[in-house]
Amino acid sequence: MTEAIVVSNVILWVVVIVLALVVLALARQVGVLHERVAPAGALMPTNGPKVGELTESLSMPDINGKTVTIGGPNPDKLNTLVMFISPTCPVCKSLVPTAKSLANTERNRLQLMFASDGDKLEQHQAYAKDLKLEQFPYVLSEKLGMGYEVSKLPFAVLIGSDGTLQSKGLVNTREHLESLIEAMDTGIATLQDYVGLAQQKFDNSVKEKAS
Amino acid sequence: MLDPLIVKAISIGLGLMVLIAAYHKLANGAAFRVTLLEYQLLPQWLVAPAAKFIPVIEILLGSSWLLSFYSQPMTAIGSAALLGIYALAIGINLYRGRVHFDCGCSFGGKDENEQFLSGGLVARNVLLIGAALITLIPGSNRAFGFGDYATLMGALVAATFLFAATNQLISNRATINTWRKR
Repeated sequence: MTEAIVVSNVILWVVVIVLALVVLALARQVGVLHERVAPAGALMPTNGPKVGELTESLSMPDINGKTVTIGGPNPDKLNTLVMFISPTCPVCKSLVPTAKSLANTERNRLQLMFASDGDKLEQHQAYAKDLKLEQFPYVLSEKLGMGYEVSKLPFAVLIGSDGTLQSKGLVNTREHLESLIEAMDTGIATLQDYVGLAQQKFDNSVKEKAS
Repeated sequence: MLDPLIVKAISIGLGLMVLIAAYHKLANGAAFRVTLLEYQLLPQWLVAPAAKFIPVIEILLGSSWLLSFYSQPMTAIGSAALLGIYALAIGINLYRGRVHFDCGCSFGGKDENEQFLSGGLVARNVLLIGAALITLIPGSNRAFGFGDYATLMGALVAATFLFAATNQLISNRATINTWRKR
């Protein structure tokens, strides 16, 4: 009997130590992941309308025939996130649920719209049904895409409630989408602008001290 | 009655921890001075002497845990007080909202491995204070056998890993808290 208890104790200690080691390794790996996945924003192209410019108000029918207005001041004081997608773009398919979830958490100040182009209306209707986009406006407009100079998908444009362009960029992850909203909240369009501001602040304080 | 094995395990565990902490403070003296300065609790002229003084206290406490050349209660209360001061210092800076500097409490002392302040660190210190004070409970006395030493070894090794894992998780959480919420 004593022997059995001794053996079981030895085994239990070995298991406890191995488990503790595994927990440590897991925690360490999570930590390393945090360090590696440094924050990254949406890739903003330099062509097309600039951030801060007033957007052109465009009215067009969505795929269900309802008229939708994109751009210009919003009567409901909502910011508009327009996501350009396409049935032929695989990343779009995985990002749409993310965009919907983001729009849901920000629903008191943000409306989400989808945009695409092409003339196969039925294909887009099936696509919208497949992704459960019934409650969001979905427009087909070449003019819209050309206006914002969308060249790569999925692309997102964030228009403020006053109609100015707040941010835009190529989005591949939730983080990229969030960076657009973050850019609107902080009023700083890009990381480069932020570094520039910090540099300017530093220069000013140096000048103050020198004078 | 407290079994002496528990007291022994806590003594060695806390003793080694405090000694390693002292070693890191002495080995990276400049970094520790910066840390003390960042806490903004001491007047500037006191920072340099305090940076020398704190590791000495830690060495005294740590070796006393291991070799028990001061009485057990004194060592326990002294350690609890020291850990309490650390927790208070972290708490005050949490209250001030100054959290983005290295707390000076991560072991391993790697420069890139800095740990920001968080409530988790206060909780960790409170737990350690609890462990130190447990040894104040009057204990029975008995001779240790081979099995006891094996248990002691196992407990110390497991506790070391778990302590490191806890620190890592606290540090991960502090990193996550710098992310966008909602």
